[in-house]
Amino acid sequence: MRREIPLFLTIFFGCMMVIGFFVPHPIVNEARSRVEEWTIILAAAAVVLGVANVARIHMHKISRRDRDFQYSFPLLFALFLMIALGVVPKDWITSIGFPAGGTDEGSPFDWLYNNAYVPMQGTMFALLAFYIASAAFRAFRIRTIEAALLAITAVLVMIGRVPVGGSISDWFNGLIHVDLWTLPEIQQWIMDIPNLAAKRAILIGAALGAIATSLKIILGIERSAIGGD
Amino acid sequence: MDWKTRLEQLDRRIIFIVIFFAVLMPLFFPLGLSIKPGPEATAFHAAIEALQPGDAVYLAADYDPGSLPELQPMLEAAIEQLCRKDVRIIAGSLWPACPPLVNRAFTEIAQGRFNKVYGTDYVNLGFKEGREVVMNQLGQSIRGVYPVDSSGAPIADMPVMSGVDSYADIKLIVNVSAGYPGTKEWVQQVRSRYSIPLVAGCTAVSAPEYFPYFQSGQLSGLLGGLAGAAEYEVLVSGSGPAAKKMDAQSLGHIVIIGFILLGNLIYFLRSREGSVA
Repeated sequence: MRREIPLFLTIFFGCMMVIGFFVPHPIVNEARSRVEEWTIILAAAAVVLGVANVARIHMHKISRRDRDFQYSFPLLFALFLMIALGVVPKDWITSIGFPAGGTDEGSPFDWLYNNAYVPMQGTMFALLAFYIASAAFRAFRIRTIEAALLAITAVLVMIGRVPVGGSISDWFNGLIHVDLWTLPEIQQWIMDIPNLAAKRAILIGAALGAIATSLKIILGIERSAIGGD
Repeated sequence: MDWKTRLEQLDRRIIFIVIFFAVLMPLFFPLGLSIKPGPEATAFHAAIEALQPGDAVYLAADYDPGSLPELQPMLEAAIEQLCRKDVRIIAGSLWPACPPLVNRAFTEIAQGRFNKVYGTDYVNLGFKEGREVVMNQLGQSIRGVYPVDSSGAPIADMPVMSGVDSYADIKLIVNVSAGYPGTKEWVQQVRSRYSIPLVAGCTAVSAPEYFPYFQSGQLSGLLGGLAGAAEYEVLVSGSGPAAKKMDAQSLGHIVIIGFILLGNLIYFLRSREGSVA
């Protein structure tokens, strides 16, 4: 029964969602809508489960003194601090002198979000520019015809997407007195024609793959999602 | 050690310093390069211009602070244009870290510059877990999914929600997205199913993936990355934070292209010497 019940639930609810998409009958719509409400509740419960799991893993890491266990302390501290600031009653926070409580503007939660979380995440993503520049110099080697095509396309799109591409084209066209395609126009053509053809093919292929995999799960052929082989 | 070997073994900290100054200098000394809006940004702008005063728009903000430099200017410019059109804005998010960014934009633009009133002209419904299921459920009942707004206030009595409870009452969805769940899911789950016009702004890295949706008409407008945000700002107000950063991005791209060319020049010279394995 440990396999049959999850399999039955998968088949039942999977079929219900597919039928609900194509059949506009009110009864079918109502049933699908109810299932979707349950899904939202389950998803919210899964977030709580996820937080509990993160806390459990890092507490174990600390108790076993695993490698880099020190980093688990700030993680757990930040996790519980933000949860506490977000869920304690707002008037408790305002009673100790803060202008707002909960997650409202002016609350300690909001202050930490704006002054710790936003700059830290921004910093992480800003580092990408440095790594891309370094990788462009060290790893982007034109060894084959395909690599040459990739490099030429990358350069044209990179320069054509930014205003300096238009300025260079205008200057060059003015210099030779010929109305050639500008770099932004070349970039637009690359995005609209070759990029679009490739992306559309990938999208359609991925969609067909997703349909096939979903059907295999709904029909019980693919059982890895419910702990099967 | 000859100059080719020196360049080949260039300390990456020098590369970091060069890119740092290339990005930093234009912020202090702008180059003033002109920005020409492309067809995607023009279509995005036109879709909002077609709205009538009093129409309701769903603003789906699906990103987090990591994408803030690219996407926040889009959100702010969209809110500015929506406020000018005097439409009602109902904002929601499927990313947990996004609602404060929406609040910030509403406070600065809607409230600060247009004197719009929270609950009457706009509302921030906040975050809801459930991804595609939430998108579908909003088509049944917005109040069912979001009985309260991001600060816990009931939305049923808010004037901004008057006569609005599903996609049937929404004239346009404006999506600003950094990934999953985002633009692709809004197209697949909502645009195709409910036939509601959808415009999207996304990060530069994900923009090529959405061009097929724009060409097919499933997206009525598309903004890709900081460049798209800058083009849109030019259309909305002539300039803005993204437009000011485009000089920095221009120089950043030129430096990266320079490093690609330099790296390959050294590789080419080494190949001719026969010293490349």
